[in-house]
Amino acid sequence: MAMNLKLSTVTRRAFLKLSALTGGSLAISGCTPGALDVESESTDVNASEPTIAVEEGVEVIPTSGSNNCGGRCVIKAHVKDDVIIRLSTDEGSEDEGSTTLARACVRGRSYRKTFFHPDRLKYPMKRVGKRGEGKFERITWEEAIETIASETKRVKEQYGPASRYVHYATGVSAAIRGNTLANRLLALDGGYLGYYNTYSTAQTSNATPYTYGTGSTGNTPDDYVNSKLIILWGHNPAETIFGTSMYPLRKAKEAGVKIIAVDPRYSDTAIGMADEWIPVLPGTDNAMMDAMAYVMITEDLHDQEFLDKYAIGFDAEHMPEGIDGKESYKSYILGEKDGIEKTPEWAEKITKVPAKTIKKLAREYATTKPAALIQGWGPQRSAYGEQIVRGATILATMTGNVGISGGCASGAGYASRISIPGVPVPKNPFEGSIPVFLWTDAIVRGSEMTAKDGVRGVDKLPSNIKLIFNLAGNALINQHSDCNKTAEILADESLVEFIVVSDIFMTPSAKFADILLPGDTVFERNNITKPWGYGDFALYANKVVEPPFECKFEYEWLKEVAAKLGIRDEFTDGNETNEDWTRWVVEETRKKHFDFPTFEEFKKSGMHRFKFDEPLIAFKKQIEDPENNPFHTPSGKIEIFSKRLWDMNAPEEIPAIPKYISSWEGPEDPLKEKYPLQCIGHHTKRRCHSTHDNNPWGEEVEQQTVWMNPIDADVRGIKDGVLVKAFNDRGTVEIPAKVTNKVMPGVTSISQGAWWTPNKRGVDTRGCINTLTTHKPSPLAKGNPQHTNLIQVEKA
Amino acid sequence: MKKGIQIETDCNQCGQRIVSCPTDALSHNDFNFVNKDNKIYVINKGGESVINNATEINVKDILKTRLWFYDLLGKSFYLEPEISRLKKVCELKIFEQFINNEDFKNEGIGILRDFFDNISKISNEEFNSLRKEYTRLFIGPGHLPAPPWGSVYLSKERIIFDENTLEVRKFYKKWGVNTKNSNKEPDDHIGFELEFISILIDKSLSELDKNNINGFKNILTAQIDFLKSHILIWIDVFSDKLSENTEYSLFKGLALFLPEYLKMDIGLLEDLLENLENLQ
Repeated sequence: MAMNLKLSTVTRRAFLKLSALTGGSLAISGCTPGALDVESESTDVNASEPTIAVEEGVEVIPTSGSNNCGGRCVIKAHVKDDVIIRLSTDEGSEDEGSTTLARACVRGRSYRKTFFHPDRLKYPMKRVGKRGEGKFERITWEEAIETIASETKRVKEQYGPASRYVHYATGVSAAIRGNTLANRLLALDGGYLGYYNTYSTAQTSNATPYTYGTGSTGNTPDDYVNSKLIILWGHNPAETIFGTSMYPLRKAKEAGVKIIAVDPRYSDTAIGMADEWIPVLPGTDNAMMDAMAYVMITEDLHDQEFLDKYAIGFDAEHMPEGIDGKESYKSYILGEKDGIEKTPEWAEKITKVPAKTIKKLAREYATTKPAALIQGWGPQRSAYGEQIVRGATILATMTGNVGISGGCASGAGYASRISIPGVPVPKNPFEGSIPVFLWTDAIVRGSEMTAKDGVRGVDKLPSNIKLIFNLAGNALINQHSDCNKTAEILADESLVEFIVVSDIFMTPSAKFADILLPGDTVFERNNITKPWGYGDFALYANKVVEPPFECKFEYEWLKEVAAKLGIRDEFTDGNETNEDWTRWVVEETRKKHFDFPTFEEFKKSGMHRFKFDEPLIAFKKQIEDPENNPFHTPSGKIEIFSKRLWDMNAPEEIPAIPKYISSWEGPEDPLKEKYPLQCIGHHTKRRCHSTHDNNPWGEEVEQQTVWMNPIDADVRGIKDGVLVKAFNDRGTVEIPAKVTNKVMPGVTSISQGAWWTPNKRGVDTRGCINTLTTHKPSPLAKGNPQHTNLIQVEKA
Repeated sequence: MKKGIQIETDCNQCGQRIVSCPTDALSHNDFNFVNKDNKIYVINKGGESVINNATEINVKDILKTRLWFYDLLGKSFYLEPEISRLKKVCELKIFEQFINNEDFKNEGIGILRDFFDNISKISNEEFNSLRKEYTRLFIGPGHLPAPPWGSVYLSKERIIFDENTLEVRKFYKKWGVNTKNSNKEPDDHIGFELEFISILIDKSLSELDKNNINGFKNILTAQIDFLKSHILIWIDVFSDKLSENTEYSLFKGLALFLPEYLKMDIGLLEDLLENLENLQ
């Protein structure tokens, strides 16, 4: 290391004179304790190297990431004298069972960089400025716990238990997590306002069951290799890390399976895996699906026998009782009611996919058996995402690809065969819940919210939200929609009266805390993790080092809050530590998975791979033996036409059959005059949602930019790399443009998860996509339409 | 040379280009130390008096002065400002005396003198905002503009808790010193490192009292070694970042003064060590 040392401007002469004048009289302030302990007065000062034994051994401890990544990896911490000096990962070889290796990616490998960042939150703080201003003062843990307990009590007494809300948070996605623990606490303390849905899957989780009666519609990825054709529709596992499904996808490709990617963006999955990329305008997927159905029907390529046997609502002959045949899917496709034939030419105008491409895809999908149309979760996070989900399930049914190996029922595609419980939450004494995306509505107008706002369990909410626990989550601002509007709502201290945030950094969400607590990282607690449903292993995340400074896992202080509320024993239920809970989790898991290791074995090895003889095929029983295994729908069949949706009597936005609905802020919205570009938010490998955004190395992996096509850039005089502002009525981000053919004309994309960083003009200089997104929910699921945005881009 | 540090600089006396380890570069201005009546004194090499009316300074006074400075500097970085502590410094008028010296060149001393001069007049509001500045600079919760831990500047990954932390810990342990909050706070906090030097100074004073010149020498050597291998290699970067990021005179003054003081101190220690041979 070469360093330039500046010459000293303090001379020894000056110091010596000072010493002569004052030295004898100077006494150090011995009453102020120092930070160091002198343990031994017996150090041999005469030895040239005084020696006191120092531990030199290096121990390797297996642990694992617990951010909300779809995959999970083995992280081995090399520990010397209680300091992690380096990391390694899964060193196994291929062919170790049905799952892939759990090797860490760039994020996992830079865990030291991220989690031992000098900006870690270190001490409990209380807000001293206006809420959201980011001004805090250090307090003791005692004061923090006392404040939280007394506010929890006060708000319950003043507004009732249902005014207390624990927000969606996935920073710790593991068996023991702060938000469930807080729900456990509040459930024991009289109740809280619950939520359903997630920010990932609201539309598909709600819409898929209208077709199949369940969201568990996926074959496990080890079945990919049995397909002849795989269509990845808005599915990008290479960047979203969808479980560990990239490995089986690669196996399928190696086996010669043809792979087609449908996506407005040439994703890394499309680049690495696809034989063909079909760009489609965001939100117009259903027009393309309708046209594919049109081709199949008019060319008689659909599986009529399968439809007749297993489905209702496809044609006039198979409608639910009392429903006119004109309401059938086929009738809609052929334009028998609205006079519009859903031809490929009709779809081309809407989707920008050439009619001949649509025809070719329809023919290929209908005639290649078996074929898997696998939907990602991106397209459904849109204004009418429910239709996209249902549309694909109908195509899968029309082609008879449901319930068979190599096929795919499409829809949500959940396919978990592993059950690892988390810390249990007792029944919430307050039975009402809201769709998670409407929590900001519940702050402003909660007491007006009813079933039409998605309120479940009660007729209407008794109160607005007055207290929020936001533990290890960034959806308080960053990952929720419309950051500017959300910030305005949170900043109003007359609305939410108390916000507790626990996190490891000063995130955009943490800025809105009244009490801000320093959380811990994966290295500092015991836990158990597994990938999302698509990876057949579980990992023991060992505690490796003590949490630094005054950092604590949420459980530690929640126990103390429970004590002040007089419910400590009920809260812990005899589990004093995280390790007590992980022991409980292992015991519960062993009740279902008989070959699961003992606690001691699991903790030591750090990993358990589940072995399965064959892939799980969704609806296999229903297809092989329909008499004894009806679908879990009201009719017992696959419901192309849903009577339940029909009865909602909102056919424009919630049709009984899937339809293309011309979307607000879609390509046909007149607002395009003002904001001519669509904007979506892709996942980037450099972050896990918003985690790791503050790791500067990530910027070298992928810079935060707005992607735009050269055609759109040229007319605006925008060159690659120049600073641009992307804006609409909701906000403005200022980041460099990435001018690339990897996104289709008319569409821009900003990777999601960058930390919202408004400057003095309110312009987000980091490029959080949610500066541009809206609070307006999708009609059925009340889900977040994060990819439905119209914007303009100009040179900054 | 430790850790391969090489410094290129001009000698502040003769203007020659010097390529050497940091402290060699600073050793061009020598004092002699003499043993008189069993007390070690320092005299200017050329025979002229070090100060106007004295040719001799008791080495113990030098060590005590050093001890006082390291104590002040260390605590300023790891403890929140406390009014009574600051007022004590004010009463001693140390920086005042420094600044009156004709050799004075350091801007930090002037800033610190003004700060401590005015401490008795500081309002509660001003003092509160000083405490907030300390929190902002060294505690958080936001981005720390000048993190006070060595490993942030020295480790490949720019993190807290790294091999560097362990090296420092090892050095402490060799001298029977531990951080009180072991594994909670990294050992290489600048405040801890400065306190460690003050502990060694204290030890060297006891050896001097015992007339154990060999032990005394070893402790001086350890101080030089620690300063060179664990503090000097990052102190300029840290101090620059600190002075660029604060407008508060206490911290700006400390940032400007600290690295210069430490470099001076190494030269002083080396002079003292060189002369010890003559003293026994």
